[in-house]
Amino acid sequence: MNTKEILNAFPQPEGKILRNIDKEACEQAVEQIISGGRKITRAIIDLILEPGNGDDIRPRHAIHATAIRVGGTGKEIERNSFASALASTLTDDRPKAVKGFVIRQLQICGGAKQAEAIAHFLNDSEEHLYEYSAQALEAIGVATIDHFRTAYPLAKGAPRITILQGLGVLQDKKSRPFFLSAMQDTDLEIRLAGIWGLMRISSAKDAELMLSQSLKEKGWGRIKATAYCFELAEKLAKNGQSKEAKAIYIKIKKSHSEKQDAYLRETADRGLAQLK
Amino acid sequence: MKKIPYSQTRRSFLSKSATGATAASILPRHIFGAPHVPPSEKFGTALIGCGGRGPGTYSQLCKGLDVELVGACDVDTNKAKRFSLARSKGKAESYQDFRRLLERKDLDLVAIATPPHWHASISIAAAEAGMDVLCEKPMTRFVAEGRAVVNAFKRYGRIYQIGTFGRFNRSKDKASILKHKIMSSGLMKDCNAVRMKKGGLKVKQWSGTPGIGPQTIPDTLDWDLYCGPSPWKPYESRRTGGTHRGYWDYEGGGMCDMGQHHFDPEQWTYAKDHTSPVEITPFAPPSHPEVTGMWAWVELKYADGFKFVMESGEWGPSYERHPVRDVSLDDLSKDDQEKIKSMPDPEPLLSFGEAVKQRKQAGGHPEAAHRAACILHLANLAIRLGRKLKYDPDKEVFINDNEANRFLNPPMSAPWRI
Repeated sequence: MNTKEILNAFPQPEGKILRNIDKEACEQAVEQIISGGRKITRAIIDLILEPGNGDDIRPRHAIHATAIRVGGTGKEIERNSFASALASTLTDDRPKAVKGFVIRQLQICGGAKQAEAIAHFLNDSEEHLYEYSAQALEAIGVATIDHFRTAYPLAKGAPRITILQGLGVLQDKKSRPFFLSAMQDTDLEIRLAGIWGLMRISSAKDAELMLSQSLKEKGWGRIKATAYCFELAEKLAKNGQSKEAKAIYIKIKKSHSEKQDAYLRETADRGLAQLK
Repeated sequence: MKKIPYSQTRRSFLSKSATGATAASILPRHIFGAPHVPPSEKFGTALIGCGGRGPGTYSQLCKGLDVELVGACDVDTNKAKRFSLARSKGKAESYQDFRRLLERKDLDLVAIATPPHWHASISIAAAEAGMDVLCEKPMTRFVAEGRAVVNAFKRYGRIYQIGTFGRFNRSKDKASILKHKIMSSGLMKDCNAVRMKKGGLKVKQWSGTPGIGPQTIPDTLDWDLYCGPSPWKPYESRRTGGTHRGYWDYEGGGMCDMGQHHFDPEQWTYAKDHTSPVEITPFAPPSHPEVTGMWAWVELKYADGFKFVMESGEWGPSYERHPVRDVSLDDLSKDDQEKIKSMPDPEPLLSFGEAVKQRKQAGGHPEAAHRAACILHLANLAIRLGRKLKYDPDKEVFINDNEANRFLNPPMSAPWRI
């Protein structure tokens, strides 16, 4: 099967939707893509266009179907081979929107070996590549932490909160200084990401700081910052740090004395009642 | 309409008597006997997501309660203004960003009718702000969101009701009650019942249209906020306004549009509110990366052997793996049948309004809603992945399938997170 024959196995819309799809033909085509190796994968990626620049429904479908079907136990060799082929296209001279699509497929099938190629875009603001890159790396997991750590100090604008949040998703304890510093930022969402990050790494020693910051916030910031303090208390309690959890609940009770905060005092009481 | 001072509004009363049934084990029983709300007491209400199902969802929120609409919110400002005008002659403030709405001090109850990719984040935020929630189905876009919603409502002792109500009639139906008793008794071993839902899942109706190029964003729409926790994509009108259902980023096709209606009552009938299937087997062609498409059938098997089957009836072969048959008293020994007959009927399910007044768990509470949503998400994931999946319903992860697990808790776009 050549590239054209492989792609013809996938449907074109009829009445706007992909209603006439042949399962067996598509699955055979996926097998051909896998066995065709890097050459066929790259040839199909070459047919993917920037959105709005033409019809690339079949190539996108074929690449995605393959990314999905190389998943699961026992397919490690095929998965790594296909993911490597995808990652190899990220260094080409291609539209960034196409690279974004490739990164999103690597979110499904990529592994640690492809992390560096993906991480190259962590600070790239065009076509939301920073977001796609961060999400693919988060999906791959803790093996990608170093890339986030390296990228964060260089980050400006939209990528900054995305990378900081990624460090929180991966529960990176070594990023504690980043989270602490973020808590003092002028941007509310960065401050909240900092508090959230400290909660994610169960940083008991920073509970006091988090609580103080939550009290400085107003409106939405206060709602979320207080929620992260509650979540920290629950995590600490689960980890056997009841004393530290208790201190958080008591501080929230004492510091939220307004009438409209009664539900927070009730929440703290429930937390206290659950401590052993 | 007289404006109610905050100090006399529901939230201050609720916080004194508050807690859902989820906290029953840690609070004195008498707390649930708190007096009912005087009929004169008004609840401050809001609707988030004012198009499509919004007005209907808001009406469900208000049933049996004395309310005052104080806010209407939509990422499209026109929709928020229209709803405020229709339901409060424009008195209720309009918002484009739900964060500003949730900062209000006079808000007690929130109806959420956004597309589903926003359901969990807004539900959680509303609970964190001290509000009770009625949320349109499906509860969530992916599995981990559901657990986060359950945890938030338990933490804050707030009331939650999913926007599907079929289980209320089931819980009053004698035949359904009998099945509920049989399945909840623990007496049924190696259950071979197969419950089939054939058709009605709008597979073609809510399949998406691939390959549409970027379009100009309407002036009244905040597209970045619309995308929210889902991956950012260039604007196409079909990604909004009902046809959003055909995109994986926002809903998950007719399965997620209709599935919670169909399977939430079934889940109650067969006493599965506390658990999820352990093995999911699909028959589906490879799916498209952006849009939902065709599938033939999905079988979802529980740990006790009970199976739900959904057959699209719109593509591919029929389901023939096992004969369809219902649960029956005859499946049990004579002794066990007597035990079932002597079992008390299950507690009546409370409507959202009753639950809010009594501070008890609503019939469509978060855990039940989450487990019902999981049926749809697990089925959809099996369809998308095209392989049999084994699932641990306690840990809520797939067994020995790391790539499948990436779909259970996909990363969210900053600053949104659960």
